[in-house]
Amino acid sequence: MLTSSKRVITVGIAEMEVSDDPDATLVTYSLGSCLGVMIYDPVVHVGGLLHIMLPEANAEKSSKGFNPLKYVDTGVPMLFKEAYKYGAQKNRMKVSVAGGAQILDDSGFFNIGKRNMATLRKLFWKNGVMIEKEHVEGTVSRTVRLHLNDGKITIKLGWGEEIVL
Amino acid sequence: MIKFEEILKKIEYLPPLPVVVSKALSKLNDPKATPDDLAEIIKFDQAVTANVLRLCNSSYFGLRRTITDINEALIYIGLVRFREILVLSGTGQYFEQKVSGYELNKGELWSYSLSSAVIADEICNIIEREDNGSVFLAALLHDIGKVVLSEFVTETWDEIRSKVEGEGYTFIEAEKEVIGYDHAELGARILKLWGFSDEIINAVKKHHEPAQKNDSFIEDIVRISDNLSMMMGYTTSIDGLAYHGYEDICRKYNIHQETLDRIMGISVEKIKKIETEYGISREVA
Repeated sequence: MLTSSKRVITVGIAEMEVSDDPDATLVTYSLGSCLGVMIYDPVVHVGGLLHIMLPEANAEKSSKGFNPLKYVDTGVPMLFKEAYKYGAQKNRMKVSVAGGAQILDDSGFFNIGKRNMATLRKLFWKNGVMIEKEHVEGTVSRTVRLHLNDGKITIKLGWGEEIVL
Repeated sequence: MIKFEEILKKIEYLPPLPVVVSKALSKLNDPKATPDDLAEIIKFDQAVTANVLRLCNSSYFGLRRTITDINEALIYIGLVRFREILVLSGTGQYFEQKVSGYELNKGELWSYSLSSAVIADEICNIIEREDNGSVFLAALLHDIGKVVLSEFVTETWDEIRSKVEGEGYTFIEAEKEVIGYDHAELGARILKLWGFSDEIINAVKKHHEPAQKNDSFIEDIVRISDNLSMMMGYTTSIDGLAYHGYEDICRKYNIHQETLDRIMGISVEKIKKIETEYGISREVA
């Protein structure tokens, strides 16, 4: 194991977690074409992880039981806002992204991973946010962990290999 | 190359589908079957009976009183849900285990299979086609071959990985090339041994094959649900997303990119609900 953290907080699909517990590790399992968006403010040790699956909410917004955390355009702003509540500040935030994989498809019909990433880049660009590190695309599934003591990110690839982002 | 007989022997060692489950499943195909007939079959199986009652009394149905009579419960939950319960109770024993050859932890194949079944069901809903239960069943069982092939994948992993990463093979092509047999063929053999119908066996067998014009509805839907389940990340499996997408099938049923988004968006909530109802959890390393 690459970590010594004690508390593991799991983030499911279309969910997010934010914490300032330095002993905690935020983890989300098996990102396919979904994206894991991780933010970390090293000064206050506040970190957040969001597991989003689709690019834009569009018409869904007005539907019953709408879950904004399913979509890039509605979920990412919520992640940042939640982190601000814990004292994190936008200008100190380290932003990383993992996931956005794709099945083999020449025409791009199934490129939800790419569409997710494109929507995310557009959103960040509009808001003046830089992605510091990323591990995206390809055909591999990824499990990501954000360690809140130092903001380190580890990614376990589908075939079992673990890397530090 | 691994000996074919060695693989076949493994199939025979799999515990058979519980008698009660296969009996009740075939009874369900009889249009004259009544809830009484079904109750008569399942009352001897504690797991199935308990699951029927638990589901019937769950918040999902919102009944004011507690149902303890199995006949009454069957009427409330309906035959479609009953088939789900049967299949889930009967197949959990294979899927729950760790499938180490594919780097699947305990419960992961279960979760993946279930998600494919729920997605298949949702595709039928959205394109307004009725499923008599076979689509759900075929989608649920499509990867059963992995349970057996697992250890052979472990033995030959380096070779498989170099084919997938270095030579552009899909995972299933590499299995076939290196082991001599792939998980789809093997799954079909297992289901044949268990007496499943040809339509389900063929759908499992062909779930990674290129689509043909005259493929059946079940064969088509199982493939798309498999695609979507992979994309939604219901597995951290070793093979990842290294499979072909079936755009041609989507076009055949008028499924566009936005339709895919919708199917995924709705399915994710349903899967969460069923995982909670049936207490399915993934153990992760």
